[in-house]
Amino acid sequence: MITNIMAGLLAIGLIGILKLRVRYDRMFSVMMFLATAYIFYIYMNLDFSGIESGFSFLWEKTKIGDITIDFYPSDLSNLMIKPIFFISVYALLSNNIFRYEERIMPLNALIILNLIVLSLIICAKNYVQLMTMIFVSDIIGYLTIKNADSLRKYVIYNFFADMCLFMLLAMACGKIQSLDITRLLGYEQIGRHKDFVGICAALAIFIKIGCFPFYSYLTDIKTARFSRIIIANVLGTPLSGILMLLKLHNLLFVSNLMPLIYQIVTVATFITGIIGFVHSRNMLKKVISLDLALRGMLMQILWINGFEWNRYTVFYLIGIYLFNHLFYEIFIYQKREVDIVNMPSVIESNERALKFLLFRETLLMSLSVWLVWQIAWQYDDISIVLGITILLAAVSIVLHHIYKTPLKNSQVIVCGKEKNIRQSIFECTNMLVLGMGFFYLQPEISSIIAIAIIFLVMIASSLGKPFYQIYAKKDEDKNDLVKNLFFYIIAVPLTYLSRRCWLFIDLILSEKIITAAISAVGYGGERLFLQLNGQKYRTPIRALVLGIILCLLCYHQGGQ
Amino acid sequence: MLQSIINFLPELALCAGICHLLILAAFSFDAPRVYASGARFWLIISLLLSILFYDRQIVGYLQYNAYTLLFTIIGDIGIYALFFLTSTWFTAKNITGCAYNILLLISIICFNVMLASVNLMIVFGAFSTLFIINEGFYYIYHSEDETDATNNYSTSLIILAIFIISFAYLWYRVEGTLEFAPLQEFFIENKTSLAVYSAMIGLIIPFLYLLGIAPFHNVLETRIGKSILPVAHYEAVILPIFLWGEIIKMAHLMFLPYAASLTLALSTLGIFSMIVGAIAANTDNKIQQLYMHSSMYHFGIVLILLSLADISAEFAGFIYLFMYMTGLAAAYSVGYNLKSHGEYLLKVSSLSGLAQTRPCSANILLLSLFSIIGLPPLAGFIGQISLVNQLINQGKYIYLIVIYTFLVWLTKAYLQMIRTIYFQQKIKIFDTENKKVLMIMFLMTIIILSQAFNPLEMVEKIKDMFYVIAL
Amino acid sequence: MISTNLLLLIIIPLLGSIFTITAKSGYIDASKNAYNVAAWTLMANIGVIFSLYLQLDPDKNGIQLVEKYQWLHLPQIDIFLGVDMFSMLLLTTLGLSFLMICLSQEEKDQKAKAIATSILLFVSMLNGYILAADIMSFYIFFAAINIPLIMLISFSEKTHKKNILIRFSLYNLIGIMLLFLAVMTIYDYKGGNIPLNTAGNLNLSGKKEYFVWISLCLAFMSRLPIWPFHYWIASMNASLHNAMVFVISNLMPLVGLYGFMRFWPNSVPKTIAVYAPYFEIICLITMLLIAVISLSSKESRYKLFAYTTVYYILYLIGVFLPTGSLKMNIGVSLFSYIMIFTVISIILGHIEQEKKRLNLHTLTSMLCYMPRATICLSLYILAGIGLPITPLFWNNFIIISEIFNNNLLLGILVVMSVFLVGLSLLEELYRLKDRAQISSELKLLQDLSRKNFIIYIAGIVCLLIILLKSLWMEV
Repeated sequence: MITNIMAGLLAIGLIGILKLRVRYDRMFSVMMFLATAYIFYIYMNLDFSGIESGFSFLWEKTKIGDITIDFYPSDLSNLMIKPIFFISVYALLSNNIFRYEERIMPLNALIILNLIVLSLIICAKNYVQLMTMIFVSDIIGYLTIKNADSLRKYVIYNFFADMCLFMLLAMACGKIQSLDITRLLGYEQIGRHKDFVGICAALAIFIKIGCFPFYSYLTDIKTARFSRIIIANVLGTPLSGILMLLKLHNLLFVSNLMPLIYQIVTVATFITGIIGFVHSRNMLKKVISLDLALRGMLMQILWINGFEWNRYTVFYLIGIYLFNHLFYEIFIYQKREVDIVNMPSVIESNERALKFLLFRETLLMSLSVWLVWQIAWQYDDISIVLGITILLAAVSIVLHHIYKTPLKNSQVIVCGKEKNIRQSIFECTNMLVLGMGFFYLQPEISSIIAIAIIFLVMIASSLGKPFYQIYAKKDEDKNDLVKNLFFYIIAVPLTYLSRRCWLFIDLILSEKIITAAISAVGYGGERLFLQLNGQKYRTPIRALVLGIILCLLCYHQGGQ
Repeated sequence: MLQSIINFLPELALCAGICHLLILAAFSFDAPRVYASGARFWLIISLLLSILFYDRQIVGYLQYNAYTLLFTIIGDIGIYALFFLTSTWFTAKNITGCAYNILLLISIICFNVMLASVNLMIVFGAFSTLFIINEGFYYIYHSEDETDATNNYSTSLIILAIFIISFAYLWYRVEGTLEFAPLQEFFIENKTSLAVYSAMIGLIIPFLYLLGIAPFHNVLETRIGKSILPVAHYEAVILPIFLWGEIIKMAHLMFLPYAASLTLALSTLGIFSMIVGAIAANTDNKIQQLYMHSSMYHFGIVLILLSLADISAEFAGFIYLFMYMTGLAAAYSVGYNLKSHGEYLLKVSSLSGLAQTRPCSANILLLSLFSIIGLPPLAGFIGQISLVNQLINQGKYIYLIVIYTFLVWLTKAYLQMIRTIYFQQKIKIFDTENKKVLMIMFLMTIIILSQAFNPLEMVEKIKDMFYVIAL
Repeated sequence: MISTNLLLLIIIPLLGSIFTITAKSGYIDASKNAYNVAAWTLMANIGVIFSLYLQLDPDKNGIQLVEKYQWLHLPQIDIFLGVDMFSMLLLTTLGLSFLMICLSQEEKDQKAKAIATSILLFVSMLNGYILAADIMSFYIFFAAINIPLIMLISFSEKTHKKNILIRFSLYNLIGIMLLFLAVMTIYDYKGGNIPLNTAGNLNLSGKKEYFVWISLCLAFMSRLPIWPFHYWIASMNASLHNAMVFVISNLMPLVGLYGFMRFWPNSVPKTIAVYAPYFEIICLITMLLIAVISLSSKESRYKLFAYTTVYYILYLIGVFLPTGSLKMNIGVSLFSYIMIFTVISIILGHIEQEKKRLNLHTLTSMLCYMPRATICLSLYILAGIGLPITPLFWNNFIIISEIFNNNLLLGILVVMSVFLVGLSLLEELYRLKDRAQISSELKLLQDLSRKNFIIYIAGIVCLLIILLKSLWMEV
């Protein structure tokens, strides 16, 4: 059954690659969504307890273990697979409803293929499968972004992260002499160079997740389309980074330095995300920064719960996507205006959809805060409480700017009150999802109401007024400290070193010196020969005499 | 009487050829190919007769055997090709070439007799004649630049005088016949005599002089640079074959008592020749001089092998020489097609861009140079194998290091030539290639390519013929 | 009936070269004809290779399908040919690469006949080199490879780098001489020719041991761009404009690497083992420096040369590890690697030709109007730098894990070099795709032809197919 499910998904994904006319594209993309939703329904109803069901494809037998492509989802791994599946289906629905591109089948195909790849990462039991699928997810992310300006940094950062992962696993494989991921636990006992292993693992994981200070490649994708940004940010490389963290956290913490570094990075990521979310005028960059902050918090949650993926983290992940999507809807309803300064305030434009969106945002925010409090309560940790409070404030500030403030440069746009059935369907679905969230989490209604009220009050208040000045500055990217840091600390010295090496190694310290010296000796010999040969009359006689003397000397040397 | 006639049939055929050419000259035939055809005809007759009567002898004076036949065959084939090629040269220059052909036929007689001789008197006579013929070549076909002529003739005279004095001294000292066997006994008895040793050296030096071994190379170096192509070709390719045959024979049959001193002397001269040849080759702009210096290097190697005083080393030296000569002959044959406005090209720089318009000649020259360097699967590689095998067997690693160090230096000179041919812009308009010359060039190429495959087990057959000298 | 399949692999390209050179030139389709003849010859060659696969036993180690041909009696030298899975992989990839080169030639070139002849000669000699199963045959083909190479450089390149030929020839000649001396010393010591697989167990002693091993080492190193003797290859590659000649000149280090693989024993004599770390250090320095230099180099050919150099040295370090189990990994990795850099080189050659045709100053943004070239170049560069669905990646993983097992610092620096060189290739790719500097004249660019596009995609499919049996390790 599992095999059929994966085969079905693969087939749907491959069909999506076909380039059809726009009319057929609409039809097929709806069919893709329906098929995927149906498969999701079947998958959710499967019983994974007891006998292992799945498939295993034997790729190669080696002396250090069989290399297989495994997919044996268990209850534990399904805690990761199912939310990702759900998000993917939701994303397909969103694509069909908010048709941001003319052809959406390719994007749908990428979402489905990404789902398969992430599932295989989750179920990976050996390095080969893990690395291969992580790299494939990079490629899917690359194809998803589809914007050459953004891709360069994306590719370079991911390439570096992949090389660190490669190096890490090569070292582990060389030491442990096994490809089995479970045996990585043993590295702590027998492994050497633990600090180096830790640093390698840290680089690979942090870059993939997009933590501070490696997030700039993700913020740079803001020039791509919004729908693709969400997919790439939520389901793409950062999620594969989180999965890597879950799989390889043992290697990360073999070094005693790593716990502290991890904490610092987590906090810095969160703070950077919050700052970017509040500070940026660009809507897309705001969303990316929000994701950064949410991922920072997720990393902290995983730290405090011992890197265990449980139902809380499941809902947290879904929540991340829903947050992204809500801002996406704001973007859509604001006639795809990217710059917040140019957006009209919702109150003035009287957009019904946006107001209903606020209601949904409030529900989602309340649920999220409650969820995080539960986690904090369970694990007795105050840091995430602080974090969610800051997040609450940040979101309220941003929504204040969008919903209330009549900012300069904005024009009142009559958005129209035409009823859009597809949007209405989506709103209902969204409400259904939120309802299911309430159903599964079973929060205290009083807490939810309290949080909602606080949230709305914060939006309505003048909390966001001090931040008006920030939006006056247009070119925020120029003052990006991290970008400049990378440029001046890494790029410039590397270029300098490269040129100096070329000068010294290729021009000076190469064989040219040796060959020049040999040539000089040779030229000396030739000049001597020419000089000796030049004396026309005496040379042959001299040579003759020399020859005879040589021969006669040999007579004596020969012992005659 | 009949026996005497049979003994000299090949030589008589050559004499007939000389007479034929004289008659043609008397009747004022102008076409060079007539003379060349006549010379070739009589050469073939002589060669066939040599093969037929390969074991003739005159006791005490001449002994023809497989060894002499080997050199005769190789030399005569080379001379046959030489006649072919030189006729095109003479035709282009509008010279009959009668004197050249006649002198060449006389040289062949001298070669045959000298190789077969077992008597020092015969060697003396034949070599002196050869020496004079050599001077005759230069005299008849001299260049316009006469500044070095007196100097060169003086040196040649001195060399000839040394040869005569050495011979005269030995003739005076040896009681009885001057056959090689008794001479060897004489040398054994007088091993400690410096005078006798000097006389022996005096016999060898003229050979080395004609071969251009350093430090006796100056005159040959100057002359070859200024000679016409046919004379340079003869001096560089044909003459050395026979001279080396004679040196090997004399070293084996006469000079063995002085093995120790000779080993040292010959190896020293060999190394010196190699070094000078490799360095000098890089200073040349003239093609013929470049080949001459290249020969100095390679002959130095042959001399080193000879100095090991071992029949297998001598054979290795012969194989090395033979393979080198094949490559050199091919390189020289290309020279007959290198003309611009009727003038033969003598300088390396004048070959600029040859590959662009004459790819055939350029490629054959390239192949011949590769063979000379010793790259497999060309003929030169066989020579290299023989050389290295011998030196390693004898434990002479130092020689190997010196040989290969200077081979690299010499190769630089070849590469300069290749670079000129392939990389530089054309500065002259080359004349159309002569089809006959092209045919010879192709034949030479086939020989270079096929030698490496040891067709008809040629190397083994040559060895059997060569080793007769050890019997 | 005695099998002569291995000899056919040498003879077929040789006959093809004779056929090409004797073909008529000077008419319109002469160049196309020459390359077609070359292509058909190579296809026949590949056919023979595939028939050999059927006869080969993949589980058996060591040389199989041995053929012996008498050559000289004095000294006794026979030509001994044999094959194992490693050499089969090399033969296959070289055959396919050269076939791709010949099939992708579309320009009318006056020197096509000469170039096609030289290529076929080179293939013949290279096949002989890989098939050689004894030391003398090995040497003969090692030296013979240079003849077509010198011819190719002479025919195809113009006058602005005249010293290239001299330096190239001299370095190669020194290598040839050193190998010759070493081989003849072994020949003399053992009293005759010995199979190649026993060359590692010589049991020499004293000066002879030093002489032989140092000569062998230097002979094979003369083919590899190892610092400080790297500049001649670097400058030569940077100045070669013909894609075919560039590919062939980048196969020279393969000759050296292969020599090390065949001669270098697992247990090196102690006298020589002392120097091995120094050699590794020099290799590493070369790798790192060339990788760093490639970052700032503006020449795409230099970047590609840096890529090939780094990977060759990676394999060389793999050879020097004290484990004999990496041979097949190196073999399969080389299979992919050769195909990858061949195609990248051809595509870059096409781009440079277009640049010359339109008289452009720079290659920047040229891929913006060449979608097929973009797809192919992107795929191959991604495969080259480490796409995990190619056998290159996985076999390199095994090699690098062994390096790490041996020495951490060595491993780190190797991976750093591989990363830097991959980065430089990626930078080049993005420079070619940079939309910011598009100009109107780029619209006149001609993309890859459909035929070539299909050929290159077929190459990628080939790489994916070999993925199914990509990790070659002794079970």
